[in-house]
Amino acid sequence: MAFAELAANDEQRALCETARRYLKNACPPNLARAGADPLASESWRRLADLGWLALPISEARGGLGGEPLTLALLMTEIGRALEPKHFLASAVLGGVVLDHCGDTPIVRELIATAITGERLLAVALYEPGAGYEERRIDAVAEGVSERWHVSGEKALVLGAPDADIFIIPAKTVQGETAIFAIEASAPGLGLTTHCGVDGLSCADIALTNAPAQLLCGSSAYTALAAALDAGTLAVCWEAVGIMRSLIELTASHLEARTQFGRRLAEFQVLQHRMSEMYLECYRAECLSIAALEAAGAELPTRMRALSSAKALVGRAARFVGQQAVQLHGGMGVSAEHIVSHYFRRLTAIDALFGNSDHHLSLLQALDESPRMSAAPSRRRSRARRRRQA
Amino acid sequence: MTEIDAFGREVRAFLKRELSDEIRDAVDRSCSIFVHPSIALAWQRKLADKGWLAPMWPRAHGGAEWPSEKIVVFEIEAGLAGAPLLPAAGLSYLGPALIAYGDDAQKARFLPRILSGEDYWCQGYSEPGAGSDLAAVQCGARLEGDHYIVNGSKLWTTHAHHANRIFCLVRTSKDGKPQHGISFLLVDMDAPGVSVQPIITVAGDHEVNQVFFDDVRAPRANLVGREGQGWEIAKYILEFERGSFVMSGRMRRKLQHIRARARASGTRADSTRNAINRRLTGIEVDLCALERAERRVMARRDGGHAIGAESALLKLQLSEIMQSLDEAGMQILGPRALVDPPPAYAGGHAQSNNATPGAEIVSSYLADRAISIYGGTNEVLRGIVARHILGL
Repeated sequence: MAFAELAANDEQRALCETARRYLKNACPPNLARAGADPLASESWRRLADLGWLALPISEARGGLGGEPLTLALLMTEIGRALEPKHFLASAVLGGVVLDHCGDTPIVRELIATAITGERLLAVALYEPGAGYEERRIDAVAEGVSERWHVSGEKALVLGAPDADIFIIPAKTVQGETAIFAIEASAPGLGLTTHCGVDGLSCADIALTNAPAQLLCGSSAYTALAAALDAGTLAVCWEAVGIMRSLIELTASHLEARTQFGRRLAEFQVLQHRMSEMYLECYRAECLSIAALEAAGAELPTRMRALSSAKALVGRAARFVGQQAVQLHGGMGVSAEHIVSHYFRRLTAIDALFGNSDHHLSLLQALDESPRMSAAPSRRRSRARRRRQA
Repeated sequence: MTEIDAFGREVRAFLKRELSDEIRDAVDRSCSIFVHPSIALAWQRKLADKGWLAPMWPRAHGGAEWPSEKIVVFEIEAGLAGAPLLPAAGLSYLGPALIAYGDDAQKARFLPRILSGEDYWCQGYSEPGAGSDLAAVQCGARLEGDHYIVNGSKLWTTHAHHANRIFCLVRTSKDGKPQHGISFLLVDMDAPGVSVQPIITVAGDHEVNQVFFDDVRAPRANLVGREGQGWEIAKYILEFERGSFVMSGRMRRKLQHIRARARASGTRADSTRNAINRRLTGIEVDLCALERAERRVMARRDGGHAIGAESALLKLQLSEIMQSLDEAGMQILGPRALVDPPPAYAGGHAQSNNATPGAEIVSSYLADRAISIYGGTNEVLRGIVARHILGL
């Protein structure tokens, strides 16, 4: 990603270069599908020293208050490295939820331990059968004075098998949505672990009267929406990093490999395919830049920018991933080759936080609302009435 | 309010005041991106009066010399409001080329006449045997004393039937690489030996022509740059041709019209309406990407980068969006897409008000097949991206 186009400052460039160097040395891509995550435990804390874990949390709450651009640049490097795997689930989703919770002792403590890397967080965004509707919450919380217990089910919680703290939305008996923290070791908490298509683990969570601490009451939806938005923007940029890597790798492959007495790069049909991959990636970058700039805008503008970006990134991720595999031939479908891992992660990114169809539906709903009808259309319908008269 | 927001407001106020219904309707009815000269020149005069003409030209040559940010804002607002594209051959192609390669006499003679609209230029590039492959031009010019004698023909020449001058790629040498024997020559359309034959396009439109040169004399002073420098100048212009159009505002207006037509077709089944709306939403996402891409590419121009291959990215996006919109429009028309549009809708100078509703959509669908062909076919552009951006 060209820094000039993103107006990154020196500090952001430096962070980006450090990230690339560090990730290259500390986490060579982990190609074993279900293998150990090199940054799952002790080395996770080294990310704290680099300041990454504090980036999504505002300065007032003890974080670094990183600008969205800083996080975006870091995500492109994380995409390139396919590591560290827990960054999105714990630092981005977890960090942003906590950042939007009230300033209470338990929230302060959780923020502190998240920033130092002592504890990994996992946010339960969805429930079984609710698709991408984060507001469909059936889990219930019952509280007597300050002692809360939560019951219910959560689906496909990212990073859950390794998490120390679960962040769980639930409805109170008054019907209000609130967010709770539940220890991984809490009684009444059961996990069904899944290995993700991208090799990342997630889990369904079953809660039966699990003891919980209240993190956030009235602003629960705001906090969840903020996490979802931050996560969506983050994976858009992660996908950009991966697509750029895939395009570079595939171009090198076409240069290096000879078939039928010619370099693959000389075949026009392959050149054109590469151009299409580049153009899709370029479009995805364009809308990811637009979403980044709209991050501080009012709701409809922000939502439109973010959904446009995710809809296009999802489509581009599928296309670039599939074509990179195709152009690598047999190597592309081999689990030993990094291309297949990038492809898997891009597949997962489309499915995360609303796939392209879902975001197109959100945009379509915006377009169909009557206030969107613009001046030319009114003029047209007047003309039509005149004709009919 | 930032300076650029204030400028945007000024542009909108200007458009509201100056853009007449007559001009706007002509643009909306035109199936071509270039409207009849009478419409375009009327708009050009209004911009000239305001001091907003030729935004990319330096002030010293009578241009507005805007930074890219202003150009983008202006073009998007103008496109949304339904303003015509200005005659591009003079203002966007030849003008910048003369400023970069012309001598002082050429600049002094031709630039003011482009700005005033006294000269209406057309571009003589393609030939019967040279379409996307411009290095193959055969139209020849040989020097005899103080004049070049031109023989040959040019094809697909937009608005040659309106133009009083043409700038041509001509072959002045057959030695060495084909590119090295090409020169850039200015010819008067009323010179003896020039003849223009209309080519009616698939849309039923007379927009392009074949121009014949039969022992046409052009003064030696009309050679731009050196002999053999034509290829370089043409490449310079092609970058402007592909990269200078900020078309997203115009595309958005077209999208709004098609949405309005979709809403007006009230008798459809829900599933059909849903499919149409989804299709338009998908196109709008691509349009948002184009808007941002235009700003990205234009900003790089400010940064002093040669745009080159990136202009190919814009043109690829533009042509895909335009053609997708046309296809969506045809689907929305349903059975009315069967009706051949009346000639009034072709050529951008509609006289008739009683055409079948939707005739402009059928016309556009037919005419816009050319967008992925002219200025380098999309296949040529993909080759440019592969070679110059990806290094293949």
